[in-house]
Amino acid sequence: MKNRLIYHVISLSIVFNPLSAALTFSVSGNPAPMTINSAVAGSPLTSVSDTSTSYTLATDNKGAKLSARLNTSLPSGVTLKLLAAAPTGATSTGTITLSTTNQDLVTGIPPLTPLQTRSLTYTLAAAVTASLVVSKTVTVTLTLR
Amino acid sequence: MKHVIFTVSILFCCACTGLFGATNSQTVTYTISGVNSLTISGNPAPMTIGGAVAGSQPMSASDSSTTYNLTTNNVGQRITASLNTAMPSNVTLAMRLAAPAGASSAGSVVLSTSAQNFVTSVSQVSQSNLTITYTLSATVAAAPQGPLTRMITFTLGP
Repeated sequence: MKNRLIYHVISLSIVFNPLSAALTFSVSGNPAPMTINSAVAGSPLTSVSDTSTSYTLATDNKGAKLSARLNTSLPSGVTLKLLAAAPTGATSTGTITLSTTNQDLVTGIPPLTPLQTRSLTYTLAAAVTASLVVSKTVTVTLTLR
Repeated sequence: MKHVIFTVSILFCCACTGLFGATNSQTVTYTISGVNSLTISGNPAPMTIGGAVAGSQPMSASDSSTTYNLTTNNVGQRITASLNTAMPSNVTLAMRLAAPAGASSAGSVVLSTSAQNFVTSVSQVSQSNLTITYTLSATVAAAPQGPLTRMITFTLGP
């Protein structure tokens, strides 16, 4: 009697989805150009602010946070600050002075945060010793992680 | 003979954007313009020439009660000043401005209807309460008169 070899091939697939990590993050656009062009005599140059932009997010991540950095340093004596309002349940770190190093703007964004839009406030300041500048640009990169 | 072969594959499925975060960028456009700002604290007290040491010209009168503030982010500015109307004959009004840091005062300069330098080399400075000193003088040839007023115009500029 001939031996018959019968092979049964069974394939098992395990689909591992560690995060149902839905993440939505956008910004409304660029702030309006900011110009420092005045001072109260005897006081530093008058800083200017822009609150025309906002960010929108939704996240399922646990412990998500929003951070920001510049693509390049600003000229000596010039500072750009950013304040991000916090989504519900999260904490804004307050106004930070932007640099080329990533810094937290908002921390503790709760998991399952639904879609929300919050304001961004930029403040430009310059010392009297800062060089005059005409229409320079700097890029602010915001990261939600 | 029956052989059973198990093939197990494990697939990791993850939303990469959720795992690694999301980024967006904003472009900030900015300008730093040249600024010159100068203010004066007020008017000096009325000055009266009314006495003399016998054998000498009438005694001058001075006032140092007023000050000025300034802010400039420009380089090489100067403060000039002029009268709106000439002083009467044989009467002079001189003014001295204390200089801010890094600048030079011209000392006491007799005011005229032409703008004259009182402080030079004013660069990138913000300072307050700098003293203004007025000195009113008259010779014996000056006719008694008054009260008269004069307006002094200060300019901070190149």
